[in-house]
Amino acid sequence: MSEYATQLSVVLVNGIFGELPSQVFHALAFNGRLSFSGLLHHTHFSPVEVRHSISVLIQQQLVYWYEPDNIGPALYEANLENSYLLARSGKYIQLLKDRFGDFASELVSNVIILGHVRIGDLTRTYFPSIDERGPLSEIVASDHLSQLSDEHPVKPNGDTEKHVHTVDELHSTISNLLGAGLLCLVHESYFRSAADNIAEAEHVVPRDGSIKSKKQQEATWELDVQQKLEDWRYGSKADMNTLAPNLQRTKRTFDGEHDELPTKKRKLAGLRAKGSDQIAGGQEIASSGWLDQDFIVRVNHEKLKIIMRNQQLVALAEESIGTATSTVYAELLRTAEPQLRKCKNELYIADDDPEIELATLPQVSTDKLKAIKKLLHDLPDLSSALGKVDPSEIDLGRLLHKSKKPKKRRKSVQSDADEASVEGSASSDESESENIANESESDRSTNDRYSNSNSPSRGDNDHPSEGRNYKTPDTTPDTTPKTNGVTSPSDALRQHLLLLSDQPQRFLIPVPRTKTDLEKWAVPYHDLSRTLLQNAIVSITISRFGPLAGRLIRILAANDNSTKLDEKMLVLLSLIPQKQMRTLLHSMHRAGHIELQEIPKDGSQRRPGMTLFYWFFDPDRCRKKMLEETYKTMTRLVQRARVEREGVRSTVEKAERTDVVGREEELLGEGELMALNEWKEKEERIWGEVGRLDELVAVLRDF
Amino acid sequence: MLEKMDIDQPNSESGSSRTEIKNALYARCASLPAETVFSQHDLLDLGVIPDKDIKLLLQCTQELTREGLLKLLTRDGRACWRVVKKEDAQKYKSLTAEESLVYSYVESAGREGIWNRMLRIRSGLHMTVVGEAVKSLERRNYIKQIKTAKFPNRKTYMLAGLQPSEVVTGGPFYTDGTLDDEFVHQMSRWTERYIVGRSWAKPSDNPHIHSNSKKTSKQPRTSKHQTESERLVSSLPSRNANYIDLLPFPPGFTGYPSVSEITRAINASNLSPVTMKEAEMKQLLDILVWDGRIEENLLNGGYKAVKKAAIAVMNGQRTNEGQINEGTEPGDGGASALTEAPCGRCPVIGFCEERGPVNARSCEYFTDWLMI
Repeated sequence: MSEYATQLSVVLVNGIFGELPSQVFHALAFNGRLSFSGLLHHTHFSPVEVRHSISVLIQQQLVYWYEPDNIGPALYEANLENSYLLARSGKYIQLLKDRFGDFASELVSNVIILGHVRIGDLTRTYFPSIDERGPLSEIVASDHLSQLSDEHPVKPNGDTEKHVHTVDELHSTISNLLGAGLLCLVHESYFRSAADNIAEAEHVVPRDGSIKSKKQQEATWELDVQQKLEDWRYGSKADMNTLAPNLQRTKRTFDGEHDELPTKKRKLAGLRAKGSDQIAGGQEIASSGWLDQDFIVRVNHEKLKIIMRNQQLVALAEESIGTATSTVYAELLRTAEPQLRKCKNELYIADDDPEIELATLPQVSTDKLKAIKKLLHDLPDLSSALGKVDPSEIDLGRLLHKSKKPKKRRKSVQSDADEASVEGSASSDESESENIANESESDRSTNDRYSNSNSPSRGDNDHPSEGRNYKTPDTTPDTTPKTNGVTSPSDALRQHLLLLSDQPQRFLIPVPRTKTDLEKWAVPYHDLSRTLLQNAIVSITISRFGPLAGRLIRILAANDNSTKLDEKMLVLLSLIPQKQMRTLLHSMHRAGHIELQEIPKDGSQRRPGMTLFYWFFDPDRCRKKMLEETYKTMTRLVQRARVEREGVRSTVEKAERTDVVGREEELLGEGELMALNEWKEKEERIWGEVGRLDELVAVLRDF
Repeated sequence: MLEKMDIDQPNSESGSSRTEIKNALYARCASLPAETVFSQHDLLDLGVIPDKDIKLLLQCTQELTREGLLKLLTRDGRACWRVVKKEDAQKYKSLTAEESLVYSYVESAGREGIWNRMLRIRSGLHMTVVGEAVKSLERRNYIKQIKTAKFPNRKTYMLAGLQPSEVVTGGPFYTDGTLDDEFVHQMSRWTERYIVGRSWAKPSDNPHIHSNSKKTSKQPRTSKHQTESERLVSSLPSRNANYIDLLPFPPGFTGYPSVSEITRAINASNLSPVTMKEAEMKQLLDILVWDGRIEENLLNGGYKAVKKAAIAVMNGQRTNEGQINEGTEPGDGGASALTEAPCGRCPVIGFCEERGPVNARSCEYFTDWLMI
């Protein structure tokens, strides 16, 4: 972790938990792993103060701790990843509100405030009258919890007055969230750093003495260790069963999504399907009873990252294709959500064989999408959201080249003669006759003919459309009906999916129907993340150095980033005058967007005249540089927010007094109100910007 | 070689008839297409030399070579000749030995031109000698200095009467050896507009679609149906009143213009007297791709305009400004969260530390930014 990431974490901790914990966190973040006495030495606080801060930080999972072998002193270490995620809590709550409603988002905001919480304690906070059925958790002090939730605007007592929630409702909400992966179980391992976890797992997992071969024994042991780590991370099967003993795993669909394990994919990729299905499976846990009170839950930021990426991809699709298509894409990505546990797909294998690579990607079948209510509702919109063209101008042959049996329902539409699209005027006898032929033939043969008819001729000629413009449109009146390939409403969905895979960004990869499997759509997350990253870098470059710089960086980033070009070549490619280009290149180089390599022609003398200069773009280096700058910017914004708040501190404090809230108009002076509003605006601006920067961080770091 | 020995032999034939034969031989050779290279047999087969007398032929060629009317070449180790025009021969005659040597190299370089340094190396002459020869040739307007696009600093020469080839000039994008960025700009704008017109369907062209979408958009949406994607979508500027909505063509559409189509169109448009070749057009298209204004259709080939750019172009056309937003100043187009904040474009970000000379507390850029 970098300097500014650390600074940012400290600033965030300071803003939320106050000065004392942030000082302790600062000491840990800048000095690395410390024991308690080391911490005392570095902070100059009293042991009581340090102990108190440490407990707050541990409660929030901002500090790792580990007692090696239960001997010796416990060691503490700052958890920089989680502390950064404090900046993302707002997004989490907003997401919950959108998907699961107000109650769920309240619930989760409580969980966020508490760091992690025992289900029993959560229940009791909402329903104080209910008897605890289990022993109090040692980790979560219940008085701590009630104290915190008192501070929080969502007060359990006041809440029940507004809407009456039952315990069942609470539990089913929690289990829904667990099912969607937005809450997850807490295990001891969450409080240990990755290295400690491995050490601990290796310590705990026994070696199987029954296996003779030492090599084999080692291999099984290593797999067991991995399995243990996964169990810790994602919850073991046994845990899941005790969590909800009388759960029925129904196929009740939740917004049209139901569990479908990509078992085939894993088999193909030669991967073991491990116990990932319980939580990540996305199956709704339909609970008839209560969840086990002793389980401890927390929010799962890994899932949020996946959802954030999906949102950005949808925005990209919207920007580059259109709203209707992006709606389809949004639903598809959402359906694919349960198939991912992490943003960086652990199953993904970049392979020369596209089949294997495809198999490691999350896939969604067309039929599953067709079942989604929202999409059905939108179908009329979908079918009208495509431009209409002459049917002869559509060739799906290449898009679906792998499909041996194209079973596409594809009739030419006899809609009213539309005045038509831009290409409109070009119509020919040929297409007309084809059209007539299409109608007369049976559906099926039409389909085959349609998708294949153009293919052979296309093979010989790369630009079959060349001649088209030179046909004489005047001789034949424009009678050929235009089509957008949509006949029935359900066809529209498929058309949009095809359109998504027909984009240069490659939003989807069609997986053709086989004998045993339905037609599916794979999401190439890996490549798409890279596209998002490159887009982010290019847009930073453009806004800093202008569009010509964007051109240069795209040239350098093309060809798999391995191209190194000298100035002359760049001039030739970019057609930018050399002088102008040189200025651009140097300022881009200074800002760390591109890199320069010098190759001396005269050995060790390195005279500038005898040196070749090659420019290149290193996406990873650039990414890190931009990430650093983003962290720094965020840090400064948060710091500035504090400065702004200090300026109007007395007013803000007055406005926040319980007797003033709601009666600001009466109790605050005119000047105070103005200052307050001004400050609120600034605050909004700053935090809005922090939110946007956080999205950039997600692109640069998490995807 | 036999011929070489013969050339040195004194001739004994009578001068007059030999001169006639010589002239006839020259006339016969000159009547054939220029640049033809004659071997000994070719010359004999012309039928000018009586009895195919090798000795006579040799004497004739020898004299013609001396007069500069024939040029002696060697091919595969055998002597052969090429006709030199009378005017050119005249030029050679007036030149000194060094000058004629230099001239011959410049001449042989043709439309490509020859670099000063190459001239020196090939001729084996001293730098000053070459320099003088070049100067005097230039003065007499026999050769000229040209600028090559690839190596603008090299002194390159070619015959005064020739036009530099495209390799030298750098193709249509260069004028006088320098990049003509205005030309590039104009051509790319035209190309973009051409592609924009063929990449997206306008819903207004399609009354059926229009009414349909209107109807559904009027339907009140319950908040239940509003997912986060929709919220995201509706927050985009696409809901502006003067926003032109463009519909994508169906998947597998083959009507996106290809390189050759665009090339033909631009040549037919009389936009510029220069005729573009496909390779040059590809160069131009690549630039548009790198500018993020068009993109290449992967499967069926052809180019289509990026939606954002297409809308910008169409808006420009509609307001009759003709100007599309494509300034060269930073900040035009392309917004990033990083550069929105003052720190992302801060010139003194390197000094910015908590207790440093520049800090978040006293930062003026922040003050300005928060005031907006």
